Amino acid sequence: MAHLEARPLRVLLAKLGMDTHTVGVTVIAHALREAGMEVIFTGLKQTPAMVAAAAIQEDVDVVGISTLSAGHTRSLPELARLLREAGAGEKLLLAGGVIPEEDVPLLKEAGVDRIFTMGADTRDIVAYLNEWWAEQQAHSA
Amino acid sequence: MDVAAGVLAGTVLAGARAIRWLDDRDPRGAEVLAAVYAHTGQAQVIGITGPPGAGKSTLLNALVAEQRRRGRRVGVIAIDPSSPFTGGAILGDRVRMARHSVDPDVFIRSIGTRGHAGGLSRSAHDACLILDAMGYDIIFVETVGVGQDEIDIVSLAHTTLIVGVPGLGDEVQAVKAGLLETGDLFVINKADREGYEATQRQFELMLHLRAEAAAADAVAWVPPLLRAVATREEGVAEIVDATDEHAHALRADGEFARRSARRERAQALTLAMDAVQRELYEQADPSILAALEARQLDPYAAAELLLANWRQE
Amino acid sequence: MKDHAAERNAASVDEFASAIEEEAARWQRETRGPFVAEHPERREAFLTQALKWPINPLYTPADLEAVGFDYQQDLGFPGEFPYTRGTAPNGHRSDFWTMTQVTGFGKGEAWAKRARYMLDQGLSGLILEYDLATTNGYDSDDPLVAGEVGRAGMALDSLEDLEQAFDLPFDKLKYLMSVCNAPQPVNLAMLIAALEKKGVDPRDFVLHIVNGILIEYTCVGRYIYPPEHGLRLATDCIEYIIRNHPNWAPISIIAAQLQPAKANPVQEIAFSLAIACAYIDATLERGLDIDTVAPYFHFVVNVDMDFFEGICKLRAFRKCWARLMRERYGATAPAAMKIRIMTSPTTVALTLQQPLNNIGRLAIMATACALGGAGESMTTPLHDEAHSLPAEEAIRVGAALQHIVAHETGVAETIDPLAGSYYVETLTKQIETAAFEEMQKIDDMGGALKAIETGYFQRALGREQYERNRDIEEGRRKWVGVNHLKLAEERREISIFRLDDSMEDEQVQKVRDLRARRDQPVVDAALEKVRAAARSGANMVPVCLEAVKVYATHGEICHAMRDVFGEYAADSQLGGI
Repeated sequence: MAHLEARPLRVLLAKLGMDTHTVGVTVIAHALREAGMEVIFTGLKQTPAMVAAAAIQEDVDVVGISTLSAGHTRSLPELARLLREAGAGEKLLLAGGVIPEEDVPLLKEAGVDRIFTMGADTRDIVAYLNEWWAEQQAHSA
Repeated sequence: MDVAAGVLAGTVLAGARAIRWLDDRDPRGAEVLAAVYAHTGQAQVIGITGPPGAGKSTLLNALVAEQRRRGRRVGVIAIDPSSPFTGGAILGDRVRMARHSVDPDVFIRSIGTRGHAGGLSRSAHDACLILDAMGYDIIFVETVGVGQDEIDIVSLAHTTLIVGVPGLGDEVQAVKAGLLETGDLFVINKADREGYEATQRQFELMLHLRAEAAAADAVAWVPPLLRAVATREEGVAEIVDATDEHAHALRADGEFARRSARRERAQALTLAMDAVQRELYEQADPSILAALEARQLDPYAAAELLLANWRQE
Repeated sequence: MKDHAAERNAASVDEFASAIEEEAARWQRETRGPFVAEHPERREAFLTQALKWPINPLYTPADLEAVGFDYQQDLGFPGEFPYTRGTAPNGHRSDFWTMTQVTGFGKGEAWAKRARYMLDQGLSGLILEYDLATTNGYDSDDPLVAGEVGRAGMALDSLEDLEQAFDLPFDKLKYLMSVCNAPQPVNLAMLIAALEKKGVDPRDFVLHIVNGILIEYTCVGRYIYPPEHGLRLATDCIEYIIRNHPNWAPISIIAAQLQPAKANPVQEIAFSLAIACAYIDATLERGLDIDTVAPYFHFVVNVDMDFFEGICKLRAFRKCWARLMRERYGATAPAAMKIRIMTSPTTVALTLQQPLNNIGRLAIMATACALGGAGESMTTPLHDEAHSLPAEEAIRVGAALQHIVAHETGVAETIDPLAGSYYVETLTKQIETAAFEEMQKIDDMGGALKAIETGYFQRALGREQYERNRDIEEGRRKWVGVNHLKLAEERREISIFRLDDSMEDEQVQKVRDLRARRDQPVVDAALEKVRAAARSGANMVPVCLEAVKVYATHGEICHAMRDVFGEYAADSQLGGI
């Protein structure tokens, strides 16, 4: 019964654009489930508007975007903007995949909270999320 | 954010938050529900269930589109199993309904079973009430397709739609016993597949037997058997006509309100029983349990003592 | 007399095997056991890399006996059924495998220029890849594909684009491979029309379409229509080519796409062959026979770093195909039973870190290919994929590697040199047996199409993906540069190909201009014929040919088919649900 009392983290995972590589997002989804989180997957070929709408309906805590194409410099800031405008700016926005170092400042500026490049250890991602979650709960207490 | 006010105004952000609070058993959830409960009872809750591979999600996608074409506002609650070990879940039903995600009159919510012993998520029931209060006309509840959930959906929904598909072997058996007796509508999806006629005959036979058994009762509704090819949106208009007819029939003799009432009553009793169970467990006198273990007391006597103990508290 | 001799032989083999077994037990007791007691093994369990099957300390004739190995049944001779020792009667002693390389072109308008350069360098074949807009069935101006135009490959909106790309010396260019998959009939039609316009004699030229939609549903993700329609379109292309251009190649089953999705060798073989059966069954229904159809199937198979898994997989693949064609389909022509394979070291074994190490990895994997049987051709990827365009040196090293394996190692001087190795034959047999069991399971559930629709393949791969990732994260699998012998100060820059936005804008304008210039009623009529054929079940290639010739665009034709077939969003896209 213990896990019923704990409030599980809800995470939305999505792939923006036409790229359909799912190995990375699959591995992370499983790792998050093993860590007791609820993972909502929106599917492939999503637009920023579709992801934002889903994130709000599902009242997720975290939005994770996997991107292996170069469109991320346009689509991620667009997503961040849509979330903010809808009053959901406090959701954690993460990105992973093929994102060159030089794009990181632009993305952070636009509202992406953290970037996990390809090959990031899922245990680090889980630890990061758990830490962030613990902080959030401490603040609201 | 005044969540209750937001729910009544139909604001997605507020509704989503209310559903979350209820799902998490956050006390604020019950507060919101108290504030909006009077505004519930209008929406038609349609449960969709059936074996894996029947194409429920694709059919649901098409049904949502048809409902939208008829101007209804639609809510969808999609339920997937949570891991019994970690409590986590991968909730993937939205994938098939992606085209509706930016429609402001469609609200799709994914819920995990979170290890609830009884099967269907209590949260699904609460989420229905919130969507109802938000003003959605039709609320679909889609279940995992195996296990107890399929039966529980009948008690949650006004209209239970059961989806079968040719080629699964014993098609009718694939639909859990219990549903055959209580489903309101039967749809054979992927009707363009080989084996459709055989599947159709099996369902017809089963429905015929059911009609005979029910002849003694004054039940007015005869569950139709429909066909669909969800990927081509074929048969979808007929299904919506049928669910509309069912709602009309229920409302005509007050059965609609009665079903809602039965549902709420069951929910209230379950909540109360859960609370009693928790209290009983928490207040259980360890000396009674020790005596039971030492075989000084038998379980019946122990139960009497525990109950007496609890009544006094 | 003969029977008695066979019995005596069998009996003596049995005796021999038990004698060895006894000796092995003694060796364990007297020699190995005491040694290991003093020198504990460096791992708790020794497992093969992908299959994670236990690896014994030693293999002996007793192991061959245990798997029921029989030379005649299991191996035979090169160029003869069951082809375990090779499909070529003389191995690589007459001809080496064709040595090819991934050249990374196909990025927008530079394609034709680069293609001409490669042809000048003596290549006679090219590979055409398309951008994600095209492979997913959209025109360049569709808002859904903004940012993708011309990035992953050529933007193909209409016949006009191909006419311009085909500004090539067709006297030198004899082979073209087109990687399109989901919109294959449209793509095939465009290629046929473009070649016609160029006056190329189709009998003097080989067009090879990958046409691999079922693997797209399984693990790659570039699909458009529901699986049953995807299969119908693929079969239309196969049938069309067999009947009209019998010297062309209508299908490649790229098992090498399953492998990066973490299929293990048994799954690679079983899923590939089950998928092949789906295409074959559908093509046979069109009135063609197995001896005609089977030789048209090409396979691309790669190897990973586990040396023996790779070698045994290739040998088992050949045997499984041969048995499948004969036992399931009753094939009699040798050409139907000899699998056509192109081999390759896998890119997923290569690391971003310490790229020079990858040259060693490629050499090892290329050697494994040669030892397992390199097939018709071998492709070596570049050792440093971080370069978005191939550096000349990387190209040279890749080419040299194949020549080193071919000329300096001696592995190709005799045919199937590892045959008879107790380990290799045991593992080959085990893979074959397990592959057939898995194929039976897929058959029982209704075949590859059912497996795709119910998410069986996707879930199996999703599980493997998660488990293998854990193996690396938890250090059970050591990967030099990644979790072993890491260079702390190493910083490798991921550089991605950034497209100049103007290129996309130009392409968008181009397709819009085309639509404005056309005879719209003629195009509409052609698209209506496409829809009619889609509904009636007629072969889609001829109506697509008519449509592309009146300059209906790629996206328009794909949408016409969407109108009839619907679009597919898979349930278990995220494998493992």
